Amino acid sequence: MLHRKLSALCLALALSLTLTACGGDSGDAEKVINMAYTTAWGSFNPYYSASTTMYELSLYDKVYDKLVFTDMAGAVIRPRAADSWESAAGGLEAVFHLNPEASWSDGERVTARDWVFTARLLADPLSAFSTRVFTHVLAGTNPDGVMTGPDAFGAEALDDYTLKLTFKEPTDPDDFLLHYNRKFLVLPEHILGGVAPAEILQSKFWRTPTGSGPCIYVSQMTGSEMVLAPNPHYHLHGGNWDKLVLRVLDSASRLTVLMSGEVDQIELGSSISPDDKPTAEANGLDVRDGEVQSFFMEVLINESGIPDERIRQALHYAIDKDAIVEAAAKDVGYPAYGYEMRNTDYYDPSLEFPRDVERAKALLKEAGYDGRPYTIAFASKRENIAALLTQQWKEAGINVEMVIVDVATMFSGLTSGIYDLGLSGHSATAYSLWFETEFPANSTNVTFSSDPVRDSYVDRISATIDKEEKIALVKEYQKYLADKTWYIPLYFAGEYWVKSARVSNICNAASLMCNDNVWEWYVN
Amino acid sequence: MARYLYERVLSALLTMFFITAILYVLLASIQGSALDVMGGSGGETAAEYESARQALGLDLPLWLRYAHWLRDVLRGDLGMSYRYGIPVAEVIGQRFWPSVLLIGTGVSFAVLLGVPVGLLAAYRPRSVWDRLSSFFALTGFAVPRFITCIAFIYIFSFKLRLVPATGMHSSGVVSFGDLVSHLILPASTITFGAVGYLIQQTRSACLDVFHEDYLKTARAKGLSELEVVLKHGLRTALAPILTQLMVEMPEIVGFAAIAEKIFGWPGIGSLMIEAIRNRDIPLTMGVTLVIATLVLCVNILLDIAYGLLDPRVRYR
Amino acid sequence: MKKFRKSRSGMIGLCFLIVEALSVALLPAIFHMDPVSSDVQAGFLAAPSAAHLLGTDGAARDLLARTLCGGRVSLLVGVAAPFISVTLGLPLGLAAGYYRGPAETIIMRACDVFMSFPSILLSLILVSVIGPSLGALIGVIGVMGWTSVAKLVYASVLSIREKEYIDSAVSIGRTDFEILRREILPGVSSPVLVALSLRAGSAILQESGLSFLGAGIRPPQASWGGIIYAAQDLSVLTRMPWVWAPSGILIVLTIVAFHFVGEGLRDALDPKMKL
Repeated sequence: MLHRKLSALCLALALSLTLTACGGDSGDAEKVINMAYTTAWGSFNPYYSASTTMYELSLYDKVYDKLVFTDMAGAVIRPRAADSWESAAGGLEAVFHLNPEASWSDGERVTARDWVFTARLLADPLSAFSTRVFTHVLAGTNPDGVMTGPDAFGAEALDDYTLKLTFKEPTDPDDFLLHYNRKFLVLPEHILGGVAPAEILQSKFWRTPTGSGPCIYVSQMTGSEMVLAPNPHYHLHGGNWDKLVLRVLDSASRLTVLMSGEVDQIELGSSISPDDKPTAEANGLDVRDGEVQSFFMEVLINESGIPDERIRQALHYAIDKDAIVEAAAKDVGYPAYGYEMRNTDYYDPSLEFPRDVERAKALLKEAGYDGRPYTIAFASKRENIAALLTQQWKEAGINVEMVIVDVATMFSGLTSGIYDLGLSGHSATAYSLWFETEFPANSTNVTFSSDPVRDSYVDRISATIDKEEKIALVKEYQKYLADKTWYIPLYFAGEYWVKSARVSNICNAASLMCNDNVWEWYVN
Repeated sequence: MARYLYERVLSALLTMFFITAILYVLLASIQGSALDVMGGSGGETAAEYESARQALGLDLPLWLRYAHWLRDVLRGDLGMSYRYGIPVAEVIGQRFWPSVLLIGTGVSFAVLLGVPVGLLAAYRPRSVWDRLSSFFALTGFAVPRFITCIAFIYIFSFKLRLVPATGMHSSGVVSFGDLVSHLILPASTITFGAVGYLIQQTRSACLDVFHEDYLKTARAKGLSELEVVLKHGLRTALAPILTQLMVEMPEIVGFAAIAEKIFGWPGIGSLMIEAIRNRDIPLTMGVTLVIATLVLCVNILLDIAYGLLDPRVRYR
Repeated sequence: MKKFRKSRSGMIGLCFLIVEALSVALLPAIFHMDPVSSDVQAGFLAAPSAAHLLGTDGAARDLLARTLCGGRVSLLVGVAAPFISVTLGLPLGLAAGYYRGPAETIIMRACDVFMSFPSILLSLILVSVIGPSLGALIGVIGVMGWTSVAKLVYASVLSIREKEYIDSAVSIGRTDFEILRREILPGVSSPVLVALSLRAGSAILQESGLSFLGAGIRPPQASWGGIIYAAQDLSVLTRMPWVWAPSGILIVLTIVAFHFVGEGLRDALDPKMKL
């Protein structure tokens, strides 16, 4: 009767369930590698927006080629498009010897002229690109990176496979690479050469790009999935996969998909939090200690909101960084007092100091702090750190109110003065001025007014080639920054990485620097 | 009838105009723009920022931007996504059908499950069936949506390893079975959330029909129990169920958005959430327009169907 | 009211809500609980202990205190938001049903358009603009709910109108206001009361949904939705149920309780009421 009807329904449902369980395994011979991304990418144009995200850079890295491959937070620089490079003319020039085998996905060879073409396009006054990336450090450009004249421009092809860059000031090529490599992607002159720079954004090229990177674009579901195939003409070899699929997945599912095997690698290093480590290991995942601790967390301060540097210093003295490290990174982190990592030569232990609430109170009194509340804005995943900070500040007598916002709101709010403090994280590298690259003096994300002393430090450091001199300057600079306290370094943290059982040769630390050695990935 | 239709469509268009205007203003007032979304990892110069702003048209006054948008829409052009740099219509086109599939499957199963259960509950009030259906229905809509999704993933995917947790298909596999295995979990969460009201509606609509006297009369006429329940029950319940679905649909779409986000299902709901996050105004407006238009169309259609079914009910 | 007592589930629901409301209002004050300060000594995400009966959350704050105080927020949202919905929806529904004509067209069309959009997405946008505060949340959720109240009132008014005494009242010369007050309002009050309690559950659900999307209550205030937000993390979900389970269970129970009260009210006032 009715019960029959209902049970028939249940049977049907059960049947379809079993059918699907069978339908999944099709025994493909095709080797597919799946990667999970928490945020989708924008367009294929690496120069479309001035604010490309790490996820986008990670995608461009696969389709376009770069000069070098960086690893271990910058401690390692390997050849990629360039076989070797050296400094010349007292540091004013950098010469790159390009690999003659490098080819575009359509078979044409990549030559030095392509690299020069790309640089010229970026520096072209008529260029519709929103960013010029690095051209402002080349000779023959104005401070914004616009070419002043076609002949004096500092990018030249000495021959088919030799690229020479001429800088305005002496620059260590390694510094230049650590700073700009991830965003200097070569474009094909033989395809884009005929397009007027003013119309470059409208070109159909960006829909199905021809790059010289290790992958070719196959298809995508916008904002959700991207399918790539290996570039058969790529000059570096070692991999054996047929398809690379990038999938956008909510961060809550990360661990689940790793454990079920639906995904082999998570973007930017397959890292998991210390809390997740026991769960991951209990479910058969191979969890390794990160070899580098390069995630840097800081409190950003809006200088116009807190103009008195004594109050800013008080904020710094009131913080118990050990508690914060404990909450955020457990045993894979250490408190930071400057922006340089411990394993670099630039690290200065003399900057360290223990929490000093009394000193903070004294500074506040001296500055005449009247108890007015400040606001700290941060993304919801940092709530724990923010809660600790506000409590520690309260113990020193500073009132801070918390606001959870998303990242866009935080940055724009800090710049426009709505919020006084912010929490932000970055991926550090061994480059001496890596933090400057995040907040360069003339950038729009800066939360403090321009300062000539700071600018002079930055200029001098980038112009110094001599290692000893540079180290001394950087240490001096960090001391200056500590006095000014435009931002408060909190900690450096490493990660636990999940090593894929199915795919070998993945360099997790390199992933963090937005480059993946996909040409070497091997499916077991 | 034709006049009625004309009136409805005209007023719908008028209200859409107001709504889109208000929405545009709201979206533009959210703190931060599309360029700020990942600030700090680029460190662009002021000049670059400004030129990017101009390229997107963010430097124009608000009313002008809305006017441009409206003009383009009336010409059939939904504009370019700030974030993806490709036409909004294309982005929506790609992500639209997965949502239809998900919601369609979820709602169909909700109906297939909810109506019989509701009928049973009305037929045998205060029986085990009734209690069970009430309980089931209750938990369906009392549990926060994302908890349902996470719980389902945990139980069926993580613990029992029955089905994959995320995505629409396994890479490199194109088969119906694979699609179904990915569809089952998210669709079930939608069914779980929608079935509650359906059961209640069916039950309350049919309670009268199955009143003792009425049944006796029907039995006397020679109809079997099954026939009575099915014929009269379904016929009575049809209108309220349709109405209920109509009313619930936007909520279901909202719930589906959360499910899409958690399951990584590439649908239009998660597209909307991303677009708001990314301050991608053209995309948000485009998706809003599509969703609102669809629901309005469905409403008008259902109104007509309702009117045809039951001549007693007409809005003037 | 006597009839309401007959409904067992309704009484259970009401008692539960009263006990819950009293607990969240009084217990934290009586026991000097602090939901805001971090107890680093106890550790982060610590298991229940004597000092912290429900353990601590990711910022080392006492979970029992947070759950109770979160209850205040969630209950407040659940009670205040429907009131706003009614404040908006009642007059508009009355106007549409009583005056008909252009008022009816405009209001009902507005209803249609408003309801044609997923409320959670619209709420997300509104909260993004206004900023996440308790008032904004109550306001937004309340405003989102006006349509169902308005439609309910409208349908009620229509059915009351059909009764002849309205026309005779008009012919006697009573003013609109008097008619509304004397004849229509009493008839409408039952559905409105029931709607209030049913919308409460929906409001609490929406608050948790918004918290999940990151538009929830501003810290350090706790809310049940905000506490459950942490359960997204697989580790917390599987190994630390003390974090999210109490809040999760309370949400479900509260919504169910409101639902029972609503059903009980409906059974007591007018079992045939179509909602």
